[in-house]
Amino acid sequence: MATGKATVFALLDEIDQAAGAVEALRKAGVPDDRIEIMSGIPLEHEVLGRPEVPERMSIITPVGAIIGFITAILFTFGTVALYSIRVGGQGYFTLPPKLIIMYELTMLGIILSTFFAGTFWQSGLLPFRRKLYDPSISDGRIGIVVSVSEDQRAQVEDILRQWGADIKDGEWRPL
Amino acid sequence: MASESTRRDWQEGQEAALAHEEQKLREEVLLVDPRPRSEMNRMVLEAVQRITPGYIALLVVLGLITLVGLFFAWGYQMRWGMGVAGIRRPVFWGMYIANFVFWIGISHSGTFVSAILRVFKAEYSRPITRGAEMMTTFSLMVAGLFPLIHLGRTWRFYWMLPIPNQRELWPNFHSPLMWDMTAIFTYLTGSTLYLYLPLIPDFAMGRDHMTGWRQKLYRVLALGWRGTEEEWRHLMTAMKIFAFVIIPVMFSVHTIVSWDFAMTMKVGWRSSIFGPYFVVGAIFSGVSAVITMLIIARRSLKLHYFIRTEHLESLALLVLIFSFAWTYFFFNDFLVEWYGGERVGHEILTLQARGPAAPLWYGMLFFNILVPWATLWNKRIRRSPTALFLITLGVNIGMYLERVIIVTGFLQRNRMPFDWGEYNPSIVEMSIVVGSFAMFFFLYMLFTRILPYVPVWEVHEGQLTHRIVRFGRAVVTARTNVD
Repeated sequence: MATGKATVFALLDEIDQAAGAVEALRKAGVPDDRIEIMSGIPLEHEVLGRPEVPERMSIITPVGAIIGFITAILFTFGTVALYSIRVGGQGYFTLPPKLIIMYELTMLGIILSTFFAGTFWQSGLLPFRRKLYDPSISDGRIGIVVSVSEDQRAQVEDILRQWGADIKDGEWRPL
Repeated sequence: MASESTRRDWQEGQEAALAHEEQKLREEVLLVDPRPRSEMNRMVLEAVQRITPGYIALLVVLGLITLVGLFFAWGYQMRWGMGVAGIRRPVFWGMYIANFVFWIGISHSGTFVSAILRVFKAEYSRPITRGAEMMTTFSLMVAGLFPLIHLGRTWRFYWMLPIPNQRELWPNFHSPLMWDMTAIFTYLTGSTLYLYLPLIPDFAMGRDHMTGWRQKLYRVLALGWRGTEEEWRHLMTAMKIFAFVIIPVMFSVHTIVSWDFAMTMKVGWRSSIFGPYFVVGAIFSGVSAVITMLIIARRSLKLHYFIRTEHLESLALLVLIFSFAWTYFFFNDFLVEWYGGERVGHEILTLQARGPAAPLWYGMLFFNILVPWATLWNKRIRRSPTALFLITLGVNIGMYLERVIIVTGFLQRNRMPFDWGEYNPSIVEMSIVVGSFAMFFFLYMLFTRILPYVPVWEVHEGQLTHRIVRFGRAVVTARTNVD
């Protein structure tokens, strides 16, 4: 028989409680990808015994650098070739002065790609979407959201309560 | 029995002494003096809302000075041309360029205090990074105005942009001025985003606890932040990348500014040491300016819990170290010129030592060398906010004088004596300069009431990883490294 989906939202006061609750949920058969943790400070994945969140910054950042570098090549060499003005036999396709523009635009490429791709695309940050949240998280409490089937709900709530959690009526609010 | 009682008394005495030491350490070091996160949030949000009649009056005055200096005086110059400025042959670079260099120097504060100290895990810097990063962004904004003011025909600024135009000409990417523009654009973009990134969780905190227009603003700026593992992971990685990238960009910016001078054939300017000399001077003035602003902010925002004597003292030590470094570069530059034996070089040095530029030159040496060296070795002075305020303000006066001497002083003496001259800034120039200072203070003051001045989450994180431990009979702080 198919059962509906349930979302359990719990708030805990201490990091140790949260780590214990996550471990207990895992032992009860709740997979890691069904558990979401929210906190007011960054917690390394080892602190709560969670799997490491994958990220692609090691790809995004070099791509940004390459785009910046190519833009610089187009500006420095491309424009000289397109609009050539030869002055007094001076160097034309000289590299040293162009290296500065290449350096700056490569850095700009890294900065912009890290910010836009890293912050918006990768983190999924978007304002005004309805999200499950409680303001006390920014006061230092730790939020745990567990997505389970309806028939597992009671068991999950029991586990969380055992670890001192307040079970909240999950409020989906526009943030 | 008696000896056991004596030992017990001794142990109790020791315990009381250690407890007293612990208390002293807590009062001294923010990271081992934790308070509930909600209380820290409240303190920072109260500071943002601390708008007193005095604050409004000062903001209005600064706004008016900005208006007069940057709109009326600059507008007057645009209307009547560059002739209203005091720049004349041979001094074609006057106060505008000196101010440009000065403000670019101040902009090194944020990067140094925030990025470099973050990379080297200088934990004490946690509560003071935001104030320094704000300085970087606003001083770059002010600095960016001066090349436009100096252009004269400001409306032709777009000729510098890399877009095809009616002249069928592109900007000359071989020109140091073009390097300047590119470097400043990169640095301004980077430092503004670097200011914004760690603000996102603080905006979310403001969104959760405030009402009215601030809540609406924070809601937009928080981008829907909830503090999930993905969000933190990407934020921390992005901040790490930014910290590493912004440091070489910072070095490049002031090096390129120095090349505006060093790439010329001008005696006094043409020096291979100008790059590091400028960078060290920039960090020297930047860190000093951070101390000055932190002392003001601590008092006006009542942030004594977050910004403590330990922070001022640590930064004061940096000022002393950079005073040594600046002196080293200054003396290198001076001695080579003096020993070089070139006639015009000697004329420039004479102008500084005995000529009209002497008050500026001796003032520079007084504020940049004599005062810091004579005072900052003393722990009591390093821990006195009033003394530090005066010393760091003096350093920035000294560094300002240095910029004025390098830009306008050296131009007064050239290879051919017919090309010698004096420089006196006009009232229009001085009004614009005063307006630029007012603009910086206006922006900084305004944004202290918009942006949370202390990154609370960084302080909270630091407090969770720091402890007081007893090491033999000593009481010390210890850090748990979790990353």
